[in-house]
Amino acid sequence: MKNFNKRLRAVLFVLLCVPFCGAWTVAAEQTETRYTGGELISTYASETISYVSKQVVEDIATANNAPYYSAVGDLSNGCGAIAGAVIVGFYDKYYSNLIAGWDSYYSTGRYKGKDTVYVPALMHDLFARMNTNQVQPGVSENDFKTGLKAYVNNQGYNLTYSSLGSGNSFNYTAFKTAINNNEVVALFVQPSNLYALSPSNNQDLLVSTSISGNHIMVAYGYYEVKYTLSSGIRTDKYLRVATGLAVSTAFYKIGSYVDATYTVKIS
Amino acid sequence: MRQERKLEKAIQRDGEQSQSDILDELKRRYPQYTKQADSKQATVKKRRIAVFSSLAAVAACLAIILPCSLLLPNHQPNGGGSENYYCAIGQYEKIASEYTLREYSEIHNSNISYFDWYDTAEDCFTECFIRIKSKKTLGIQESAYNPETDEFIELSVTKSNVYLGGLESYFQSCVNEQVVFNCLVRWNVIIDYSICIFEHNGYRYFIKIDGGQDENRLFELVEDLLQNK
Repeated sequence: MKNFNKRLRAVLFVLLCVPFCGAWTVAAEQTETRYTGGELISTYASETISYVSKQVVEDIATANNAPYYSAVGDLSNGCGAIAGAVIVGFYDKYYSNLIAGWDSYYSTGRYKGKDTVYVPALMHDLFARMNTNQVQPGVSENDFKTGLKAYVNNQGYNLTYSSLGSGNSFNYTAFKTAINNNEVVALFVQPSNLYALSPSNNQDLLVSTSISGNHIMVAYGYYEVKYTLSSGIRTDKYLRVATGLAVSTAFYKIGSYVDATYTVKIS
Repeated sequence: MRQERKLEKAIQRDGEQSQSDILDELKRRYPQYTKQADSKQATVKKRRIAVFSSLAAVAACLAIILPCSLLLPNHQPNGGGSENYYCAIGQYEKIASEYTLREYSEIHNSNISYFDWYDTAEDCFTECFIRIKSKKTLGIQESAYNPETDEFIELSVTKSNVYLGGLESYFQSCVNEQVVFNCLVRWNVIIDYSICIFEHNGYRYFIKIDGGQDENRLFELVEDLLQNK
């Protein structure tokens, strides 16, 4: 009888603990930031920078930039899959059959921008591996990293992430080192601005376009320009990003808040 | 007023905002392109009509309404009418087309210009912008890679009265002007690409050259297009 009571108490204890554990798990997943991609919203925040003189301090990109893939129709909230495909497409030039049966680049080295078979298939594969839209819309940072790594491992290669920090001041020096080493960087951002910079004599035009939701992009370069204005010195620093959106490539201003940044290295 | 009501109902059936909201949005987004909309608002007057006189009034109205409605322009979400039509990202999708732009132009017997690059391009992709709800074609995008020039060129075409979200950056960034073959071309060279936009024979053309940094190349492509049709 005593043993039975002990067992009964043990069973009751376990039964009481399970819902708390479940609730905690769900709560943890619900507080994780989800990346859905959002939409482009034109803010009309164009700026004309009139300068006395200008110096392009740095203008660097990975070899042949990066593939500029964009959404396929049935992958809703699929910015994780698109960014993952950009990363895989980038490294396919250096690791054969990372995309089986297809080369992501032309004989000149330029990355192919579109494809109707292999890139959509790759995106669908990543979409599933990243558990997109399973718990909630989009992907979490963890699911993105896990899904991408699973794909690369499945192709016979290793993948490592190195954090470059977050917030308003990620490790820009380490970022430049990665780019100079021909490695790309995954950016996790909240609603923010993308920029198009068009240079001209004595004035540059800077046009911004907003992303409405949390988004994942791939950085593949950086650009730094120093203006001597009539009122002083102004220095702007940007990341070059493959956006995965209708505006396929853009500048992302350094100093903008980022949730996370990771160098992605395949070996 | 009657035309505005019919258009408003057509748009609302399609799940969109009312016409006045769309035009306000267009004016806000494209002040240099949007025509001045008629500022008159459709008003609804409530009348009390006596029973006997109401029958006569209704009959008289029908006698006027019916023939007029037959003469109204057929507004289609693909911009079949003369009213400006805006479709935001999320309201349309891009779907691979089974036809090239040239074939589409020939099949529909339209004045759409195209690049005759089908024999020289290494890759050529044609996609249609399709309104999700109505399945209407709002525009076509064709892109190709030229291995001789190592250029990846993207051409998008819509009717002149159709505005697609996602192509707004052209309106915002193309601040320079050049006349090419009597056609006003707005253009700009952005770091990492160059773009231009122009209208011809009822269609609006958007050209993008990935990596392009020379506006003269844009003008050459515009000349090619204008000479092909």
